[in-house]
Amino acid sequence: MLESGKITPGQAGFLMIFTVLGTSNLVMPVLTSRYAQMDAWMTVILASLPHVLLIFVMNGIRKNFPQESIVSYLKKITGKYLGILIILGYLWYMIFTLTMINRTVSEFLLTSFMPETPIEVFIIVMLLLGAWVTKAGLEVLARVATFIMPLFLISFALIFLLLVGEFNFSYLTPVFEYGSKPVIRGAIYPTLWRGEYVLMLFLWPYLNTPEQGLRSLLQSAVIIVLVMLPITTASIAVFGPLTPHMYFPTFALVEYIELVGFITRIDAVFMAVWIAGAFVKIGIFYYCICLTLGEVLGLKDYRYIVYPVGIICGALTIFIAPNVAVFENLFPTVLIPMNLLFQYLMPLLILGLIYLRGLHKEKRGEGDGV
Amino acid sequence: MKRKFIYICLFSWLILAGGCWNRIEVENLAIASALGIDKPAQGDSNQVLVSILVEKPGEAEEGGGGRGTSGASSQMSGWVNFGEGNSVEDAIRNLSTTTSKRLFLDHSRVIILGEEKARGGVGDIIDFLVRSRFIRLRNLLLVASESTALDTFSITPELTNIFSEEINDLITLSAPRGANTHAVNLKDFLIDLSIYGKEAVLPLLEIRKVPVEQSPENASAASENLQQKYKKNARLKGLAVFKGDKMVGKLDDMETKGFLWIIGESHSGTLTFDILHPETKKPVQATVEMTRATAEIDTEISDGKPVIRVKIDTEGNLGEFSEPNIPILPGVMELVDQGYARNIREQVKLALNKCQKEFQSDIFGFGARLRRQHLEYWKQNNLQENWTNIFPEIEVQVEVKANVRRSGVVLDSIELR
Repeated sequence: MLESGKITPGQAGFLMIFTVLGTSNLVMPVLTSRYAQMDAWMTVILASLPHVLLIFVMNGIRKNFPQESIVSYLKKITGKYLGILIILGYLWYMIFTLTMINRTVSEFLLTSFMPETPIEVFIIVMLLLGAWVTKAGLEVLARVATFIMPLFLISFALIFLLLVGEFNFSYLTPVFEYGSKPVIRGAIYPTLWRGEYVLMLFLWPYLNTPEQGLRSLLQSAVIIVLVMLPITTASIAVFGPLTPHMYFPTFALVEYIELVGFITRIDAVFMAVWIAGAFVKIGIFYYCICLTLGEVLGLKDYRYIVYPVGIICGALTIFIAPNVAVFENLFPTVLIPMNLLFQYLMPLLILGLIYLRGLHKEKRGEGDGV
Repeated sequence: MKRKFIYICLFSWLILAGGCWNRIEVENLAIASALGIDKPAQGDSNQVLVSILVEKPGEAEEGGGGRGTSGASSQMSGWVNFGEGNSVEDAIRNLSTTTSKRLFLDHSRVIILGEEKARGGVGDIIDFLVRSRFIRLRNLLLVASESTALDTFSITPELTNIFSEEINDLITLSAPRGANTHAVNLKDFLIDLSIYGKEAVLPLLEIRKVPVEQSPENASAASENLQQKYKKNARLKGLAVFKGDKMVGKLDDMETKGFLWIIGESHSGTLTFDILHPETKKPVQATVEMTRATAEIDTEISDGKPVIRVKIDTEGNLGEFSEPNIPILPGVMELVDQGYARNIREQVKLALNKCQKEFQSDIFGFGARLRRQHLEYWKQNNLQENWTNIFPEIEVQVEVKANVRRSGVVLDSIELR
């Protein structure tokens, strides 16, 4: 294995929280309310079902190959060439997702703060930070996540507390105004974002106590619901029917904060914390890309390819869409099928294949202590 | 190690350089504190006239140097500028040809619409207000009654440094004490415009002319120029009622109070009404200070027609009688309670009548309430399209529970000889 460091299950949980919340704090209320309208808060809960299923599926997979990386056991399960093909698919998925994250964050900075700065500046800065933390290794990444986590969570608590006087819960009613179908459609996006937990397939072998990973991931799933539910509810309770039309509704919430006349315009502080969160998310994807690519190519150290990967991702971030309309259009047209395939279908397929081909531990006669 | 240290030192300079890109110095900014949007008096009706009130750094003793300033400009600390354009954004860009500094809109607190613009419809400027990142959703919106936004900017602030602050304080601090206006910020207005079954209202701002005290020396000078005799004052007077994006009329003070009772936003204020003297049976005027009021709007379907129930629950203290020798007995308090409730009901009826019969505009949000409570009915009758047609015929039942609890620091007043 290319990574010698080990992280604790708790740190893995933190990393995964950032993977989901890093950008969903910005865009999720608008993506869900676009379909579910004022019922968007329900999508947060609804998306937990596939999410928890995914965690259990991944746990099922890794239990059978506790000390191996996904690259090595996929070759055993599906054969060498198909295994490499699936891994290349995952690499494509991760590179594409990384560019989408990077573009979202850059657009956010561009529209909200620095409209005259060329977008390349943000893209390069974020990727350089990602490259830096990738070179430092998994342990450093996990520590950075642990360090930023309290600030990150406090920022959401603050939004809720400072705006609680502005809530108008009548916007939340009537429940199921357009039936349950839009709610289910709206739940697709949070499901995709939570599906980014699939990165644990790549990181699970590096836990120091892998058997505790399941518990810690389930805990982190609860934390995500506990963060997203108040945020989504707050967006709707404050902005009501305006929510689906906003670009970054949670940020608009921060801009809207005004308390006793002087606690106002604190958006820059929140921006700093959220960008730090997005940086961790970019770091995780960046790291997984380099690690996996390094293993596929049979390198001695994944650090050789950090900068080439960065250049590819940076260029893709710019080429991916010429304007916001095309970029927004990528979500339903590309992101949904691709993410559903790699986040949910593929783990299920792998697990199914393990049992079909009799590669699970009981069959191999190795017993299962964990 | 040493090389690393040198690199760190070198790169740390980059942090300082970050502020140099696109830097804007504060002294090069013209910070707009209020934004006004009007229809141009002449010329193309598709154009908009945008006026701004810029805060002047340091109290401007030298007098208003800008255009559009009035006679009382010597005390103005703001500078008014205006520009025309095909769109708001365009007009703001055109403003920069007459503004020597870079216009900065982030800090505006008040947006004023000229009455003519409001009556002509605000649909064409709404998109700018939503889309622009400079316009904060906290901005208060007002309609300049029978004048233009540009004119209201010439109002002299008396207690604060700048007009926008005066308006802001007037609406948020003082007006709730009188319960005759309703603060609406941009977010509320946008929601009202987009929600089904509710129409928008905006507070009206009137320019009140107050005669300036004349000293004998300059009396003759003043008579030459009649305008010099007046000082302009801001006054909040009633509400502008919208239907869709167009202003359709105004509510006066009493109707505004009625409106506030219904939506439960009446926070304090006084009511004056007549009661019969328990002994002499002559009408006596009583004044009640309102201390607490809540309102609840309930909807119901009876005989296939929606019925709106408004329940108002209020408490108050006795303020004064127009005649001192009235005994404060349980029976008298009951009379006061009845008079209080009757008075509220009258105000509510005034507001309801005007909105139902004259404006046909559901500013109370009855439709939105009905939709929340009876979604099936709402969908069956396609009220999304029809509500404005049905609203004038809707039956509204008003139930008022009024209690006067206390009578100030005396029970019976002193008896006059």
